[in-house]
Amino acid sequence: MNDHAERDGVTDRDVLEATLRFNTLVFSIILGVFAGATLLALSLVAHYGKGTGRLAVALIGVFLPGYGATWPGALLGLFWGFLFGALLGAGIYRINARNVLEKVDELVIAERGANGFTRAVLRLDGHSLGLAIGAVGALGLVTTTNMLVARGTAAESVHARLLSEVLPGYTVSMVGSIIGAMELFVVAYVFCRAFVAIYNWVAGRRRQR
Amino acid sequence: MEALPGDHRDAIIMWALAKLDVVAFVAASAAVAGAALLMLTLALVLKGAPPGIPVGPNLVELAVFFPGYSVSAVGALIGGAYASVVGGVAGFLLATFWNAAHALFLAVIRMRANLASYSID
Repeated sequence: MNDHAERDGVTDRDVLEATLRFNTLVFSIILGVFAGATLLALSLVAHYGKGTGRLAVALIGVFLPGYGATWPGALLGLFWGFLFGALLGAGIYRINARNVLEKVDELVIAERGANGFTRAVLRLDGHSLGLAIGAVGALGLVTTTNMLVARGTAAESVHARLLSEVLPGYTVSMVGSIIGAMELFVVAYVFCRAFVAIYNWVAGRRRQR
Repeated sequence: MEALPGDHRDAIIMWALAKLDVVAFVAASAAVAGAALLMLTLALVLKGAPPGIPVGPNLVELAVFFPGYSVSAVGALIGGAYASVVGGVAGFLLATFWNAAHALFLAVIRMRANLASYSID
């Protein structure tokens, strides 16, 4: 596709950038609200429950200053969750949409609506989504592990070490985090490919009827 | 299913404002979330633990939220079913919010276009 095709002085790339900005904002807000609400709920469950979720809140609190099983801690969790959720959302959406211009025709199912207007249903690209979520997950694991290393609490991080049960070779160290990140990337990539295959198959089947 | 119009700009806008298929998104989210917990649990079961040491003592804490779940073959199926429900609900919310945001955006554009078409003259 020629991404310099110009009409009224506006290229395809300009149109794409404008739409990407809007969609990045929408996806960031959705993921931010999800993450913030989850941390808030977890904190309140830990606060009012009989010990349920306290360990999870304490572990997350290692990375999010002020987060804990109290009302102020829950509100801080809402703030941190929204902030990091939005940043992750922006990163995932931008990486996912990296090569949209080259294959935009394959990413839409167009169908005639009841009123004669063409409606569009989104198809997903497994490779792009896998790269996006895999990269963000791997970067997250390297960052959090090395935060523990930098704090000097790596030796006491028994819960982080449990990751080696599912990511062989992972340790709470710089080298271990890179090994774990590579494995996590592969796992996330495979799951994303499976997710997209199911989504596209169901969405396509529903429109063939 | 129809072919897309030839104009790239139209295709880009169509892609950007396309809605997610909620049913397909829920199905995919539920399947992947369920499979993830099932495989995670089975991996721990197959790996096992030395005699006298419980298998997956931390993962079993999920039983607080998923009654009946345990780190065992049967528990993996039960956990997979619960995770499918949780994944499906999360997928439903994500797809619905995404579609609602775009529907709202389109409604605002339509409203502004309608207002612009009126003239005092």
